[in-house]
Amino acid sequence: MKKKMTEAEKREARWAYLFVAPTIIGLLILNFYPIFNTVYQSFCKTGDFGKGNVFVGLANYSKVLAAGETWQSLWNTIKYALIEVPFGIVIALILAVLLNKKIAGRSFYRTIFFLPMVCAPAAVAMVWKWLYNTQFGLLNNIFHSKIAWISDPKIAWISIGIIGVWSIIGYNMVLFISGLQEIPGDYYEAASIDGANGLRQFFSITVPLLSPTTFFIVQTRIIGALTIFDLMFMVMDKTNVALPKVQSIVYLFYQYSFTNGNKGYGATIVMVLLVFIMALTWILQQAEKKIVYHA
Amino acid sequence: MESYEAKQRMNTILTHIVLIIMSFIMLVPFAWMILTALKTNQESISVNPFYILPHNGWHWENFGTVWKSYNFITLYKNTLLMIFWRVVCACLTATMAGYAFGRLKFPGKNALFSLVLIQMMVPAQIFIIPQYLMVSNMGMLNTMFGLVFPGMVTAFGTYLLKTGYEGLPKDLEEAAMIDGCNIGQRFTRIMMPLTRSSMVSLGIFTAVFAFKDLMWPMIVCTNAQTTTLSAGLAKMQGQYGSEYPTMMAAATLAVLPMVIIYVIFQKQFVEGIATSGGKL
Amino acid sequence: MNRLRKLYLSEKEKLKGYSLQEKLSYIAEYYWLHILLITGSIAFVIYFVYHAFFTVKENWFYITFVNTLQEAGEDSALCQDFIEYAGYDLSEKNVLFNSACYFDAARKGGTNNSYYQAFIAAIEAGAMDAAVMERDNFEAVARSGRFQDLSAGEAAELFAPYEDLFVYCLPYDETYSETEVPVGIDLSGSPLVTEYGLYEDGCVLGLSAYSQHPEEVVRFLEYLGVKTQEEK
Repeated sequence: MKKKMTEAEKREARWAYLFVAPTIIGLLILNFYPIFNTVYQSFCKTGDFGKGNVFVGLANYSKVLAAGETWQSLWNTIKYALIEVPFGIVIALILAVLLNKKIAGRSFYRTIFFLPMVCAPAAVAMVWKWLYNTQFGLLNNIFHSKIAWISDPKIAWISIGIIGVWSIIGYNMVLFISGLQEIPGDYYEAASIDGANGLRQFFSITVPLLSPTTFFIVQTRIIGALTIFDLMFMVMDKTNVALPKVQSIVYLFYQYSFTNGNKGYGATIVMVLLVFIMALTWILQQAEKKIVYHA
Repeated sequence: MESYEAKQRMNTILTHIVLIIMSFIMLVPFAWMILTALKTNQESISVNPFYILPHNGWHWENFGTVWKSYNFITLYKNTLLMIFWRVVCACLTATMAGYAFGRLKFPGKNALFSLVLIQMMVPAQIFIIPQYLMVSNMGMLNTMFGLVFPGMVTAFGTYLLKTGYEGLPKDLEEAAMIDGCNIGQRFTRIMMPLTRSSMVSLGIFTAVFAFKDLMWPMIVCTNAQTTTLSAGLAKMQGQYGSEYPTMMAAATLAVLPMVIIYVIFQKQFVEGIATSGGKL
Repeated sequence: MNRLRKLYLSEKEKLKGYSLQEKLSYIAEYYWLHILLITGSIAFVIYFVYHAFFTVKENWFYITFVNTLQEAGEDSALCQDFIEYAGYDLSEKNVLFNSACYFDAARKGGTNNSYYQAFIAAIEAGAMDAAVMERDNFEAVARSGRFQDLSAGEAAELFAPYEDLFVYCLPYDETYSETEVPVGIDLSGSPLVTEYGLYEDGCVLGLSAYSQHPEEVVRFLEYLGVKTQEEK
């Protein structure tokens, strides 16, 4: 298997190592030292009242894997991802395609879609609370309904998912726009001359040429959605009965590590989540070669 | 031919309708923020949906009050400097690594790239304490370096730029190789300029995240002179309790420079790409 | 080194016969990136060394006031008077009074904000010495073991005079103790806390789990006018 590298290949590898060095060294120090620390902690019972780590082997793992709440929150997180990822991507794609046309006020629209990204989280939370409010909420006022948008466990996860979609559209759109702009304009000109209409152009040019960007967004959004932390707490409060049905797995980790000070148990939850996302990512990365069109 | 033009017009109108509806949906919290800033405290906590506009006069003086109670100039300066350095560091390291991962062959590439992916898969909260200890052990608390430190490299950006480089046609580089350019020259002269739009989106992302990051400035910069807008304004909660109008006035003032910068940059972004796209 | 020397000689050869201005513009044209990188790194090293070795970075005392009604930061009279009282030399080490911290551990979801994360980071990194907050909030935080057990180790000796003011909590960690553990000191009796109006319904001070300066916390208690059992 190991064949000798040619001089040119060696030179290429040297350049490559030089280029990745800053990022890899930075990641190792800034992120992988803490990650290894977490792996170690997951085998320990950690420092209450100023005591150090006590090695307990796999005790945390057997507890975490046996706990119903672990699987419940993992399932909650998956349900959230099932809403956020597809809808967030499709809506953003449509908007990006529309904004990529030469229409009047394009810069203006783009600025508007950027605003939610920098808006104060407190304002965002207030607006959503006001929309979902059972008594005075805008939604119930419009539909003349009495739906408990965020306290009915059957609906709450959808309501939360919608907030997720709303908050991610802007980000996805920025990425799609940059992907669209890397598609050479002459392709479309050629297609127009051939008489292909807008929809045909979209499916035969935009979709394949945008597929690397789309894949990137899908991959990063799946990871992002599965590591969602406190979105639900933006609108829900302590007394909400639907809480166990929407709380995410990262929140569970936070609850143990930060709030209860049981870092070993929290670290184990992170490990379970990591293994799950890694498996999913591995499958996606294998599929990439088949789905994504490379110029 | 006339029917074709009519269809085009219909298309444009439809596009505008969709965009206007979406703009409205996206704009609500922002409008809410500004309108709340103009209300009295009493009004701001009412949840009645038909109380959107201020009823008891428009209290523009809220902005003045807030401006006076904070050292906005220092906060703007610190925030913009932090954003600047984070964007520079992130773009520089990510574009280099992205090029290597996207276009070069080297042993251990997949293993190293999986490090990049794994970084994104763990909750960010596990980094806080170790990173704080690093900055504190270096003696760099309350400095710009401390603020920029966790943003010096970016896994997300590396992956984004890798995707950008992979999308570029092969023949571009081959031509340069025949001309006798080495890899470094190929990278700086030919490839890097072509991924400008990916770099701009990375810049936007980095800037927005740096701007919104509240926790990090709060723990490394305990000093009011060195902290950023988000953390500086967080002190407000204590002074004003739950006075939403003042909080929102401060948030509006904080966002202003970000919006101005975005407006300027996105013009550049659109036009810059339009010209470079033609070369392909 | 040999390659650099060669490069230098060949460049020198090329530049023979040029005027100084032409030489400079040649260098600026071909080596601007190198010059930029080198000056940049030198500037960074100077900046780093200055901050890492020539600025004050250790603390005399670091305390956080959670959910205070009043400003109790470094500029507050509370802090300034304490520095004077304790006779700290600020050119040697810092004193940190942080009042920008808001969370409520007593209710579910009350801790999932950045303030709490920063608070925990400062405790677990051993930077913070003490924290003051309302009683129910304090009891909830203390259950996680973030404050020292005042009946164990060094703390037991130091804080024994305040035994009648102890606040107890039941730890989440049953292997540590199945009975209540003293973790804080009730500050309701402090004339200073009342004078400054820091809290409405009393407050509790805890010694953070990894504090390096427990004796300074005792000094702070004395400053607040909290009476020991004997003084009463």
